[in-house]
Amino acid sequence: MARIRAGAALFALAALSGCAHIGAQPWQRDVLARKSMQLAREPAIMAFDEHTYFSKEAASGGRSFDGGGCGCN
Amino acid sequence: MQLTGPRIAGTLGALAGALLGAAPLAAQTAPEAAPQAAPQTAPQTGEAAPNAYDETSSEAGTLVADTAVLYYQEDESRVRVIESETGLTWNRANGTVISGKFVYDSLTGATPNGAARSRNVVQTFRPPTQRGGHLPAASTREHAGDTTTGASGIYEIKRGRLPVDAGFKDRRKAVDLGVTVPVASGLKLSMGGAGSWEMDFTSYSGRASLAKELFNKNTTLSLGYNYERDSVKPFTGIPRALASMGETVVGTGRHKVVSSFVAGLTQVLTPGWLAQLNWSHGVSTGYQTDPYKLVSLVDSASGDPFAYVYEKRPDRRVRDSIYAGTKFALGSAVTDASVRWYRDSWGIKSWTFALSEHAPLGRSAYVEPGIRYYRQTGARFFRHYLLIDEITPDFVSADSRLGAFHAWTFGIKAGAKIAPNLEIYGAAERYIQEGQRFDRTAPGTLARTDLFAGSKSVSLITGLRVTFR
Repeated sequence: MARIRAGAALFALAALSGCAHIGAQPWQRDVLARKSMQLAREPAIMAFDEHTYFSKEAASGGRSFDGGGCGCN
Repeated sequence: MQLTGPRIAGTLGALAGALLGAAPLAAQTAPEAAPQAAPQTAPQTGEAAPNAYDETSSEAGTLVADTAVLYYQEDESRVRVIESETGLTWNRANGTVISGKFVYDSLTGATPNGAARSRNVVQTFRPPTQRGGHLPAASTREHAGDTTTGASGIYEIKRGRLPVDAGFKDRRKAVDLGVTVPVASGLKLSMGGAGSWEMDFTSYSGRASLAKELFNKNTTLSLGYNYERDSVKPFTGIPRALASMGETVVGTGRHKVVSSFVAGLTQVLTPGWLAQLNWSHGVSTGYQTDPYKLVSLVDSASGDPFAYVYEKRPDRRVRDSIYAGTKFALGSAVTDASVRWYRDSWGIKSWTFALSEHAPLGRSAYVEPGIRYYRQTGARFFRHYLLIDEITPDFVSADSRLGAFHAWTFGIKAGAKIAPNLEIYGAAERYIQEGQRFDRTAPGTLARTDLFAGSKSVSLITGLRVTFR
């Protein structure tokens, strides 16, 4: 039992120390700032696709609000 | 021809939005709605990027005009949609973003009316009788091809054919205005409104969301609310639910209200890897029945159609979804992967998986092949048909969108920067729904009849973006 606790503590410590490295420093942001890395890369294509899926499938939402604004479903 | 109006109207809409201080957020996927994990103050390396899409996305101090067209065609000459979208986004140097979008679409073709195929019988469909006993004029519904019709809107479907209402025809105009304002250090407020007008459907919505950057801008928390009010005024009037086709209508229109919440977390994991997690919760109340959809009442021995009744859905639907997405850069290539879990109070559960790979092409272009898989279970009240001698259930729908199926999308996107301020982009997609086609427990010949009414389609998209600095 003690061994499990020690293991768990070690794991938590390792995870915490890992947290310290999560993210990017301000001078490391060139890749994140690229056009190709933006979450909504091509908003028009995304909107057309969402509209198609909204009108053909029961599920909606996820990326954003799940309303539809059209009578297609 | 369709583009001229939208372009002007879109420009006017955006200007009006700017003047009124009103707010957009593209209806579903506004660029400013997505938390910006990457700051707009990214350092420039001073060297030319190997590919145009490696350049910084910083758009502060620009006016971006974006116009795109979708051509959507379902197999077997079913629905065809031509949709145009024109948007203007003004990215002010102080971080304020004002945007307006105008959408116009035109929809024609044949849509399944819910009735099951019949191998033995020519099926005749008639719209509801108006109050006072008159059949409605054909209005905007015209019938051709595998169907025949008179001025009354009555149409026939040949043996073995999927019953479709071939006169499906509509136009939609939609406007969306939004604004995002930095209200404090690392805190952005977005507000917006949208309106959508169809011949038989009107929708208005308003939204507000907050996004807060934390931990050196590595974490973004967001919270949003959207309120939508829809009105439906079917060409044929509101039919009596579960009543036989052709009976007198019970009204001219109905309403529905949708409240949606989204809570999101965007996390930068490494300098080339970010992840997004969203939880969405929506509650719809009001009329959610499709006034044009039917359910076949079939003979318990032969399986032949005896009559058709109008479908009925519950007045309340609660939806929940969890979306997780990630973007990972390796050199100039970016892998985009996402998964969505969904469930609703009608008994539908679904999973969606998507994967795409952004690959640079030369110095100024990219291609992005992608694949998407979707599957859903059916609603509790989904039925392909009802037996003539069974007790009518409280709710029933044969709409294939509420049945169990899975779907694949195979697509490719591409874009090219053809001048310092000019970008063209496009996409080609193939969408295929598949589901169980036969019900071996069905009576008579119905057991050997294809009951699946899912669709297959092709989408072609092309767009142009101009950036004014």
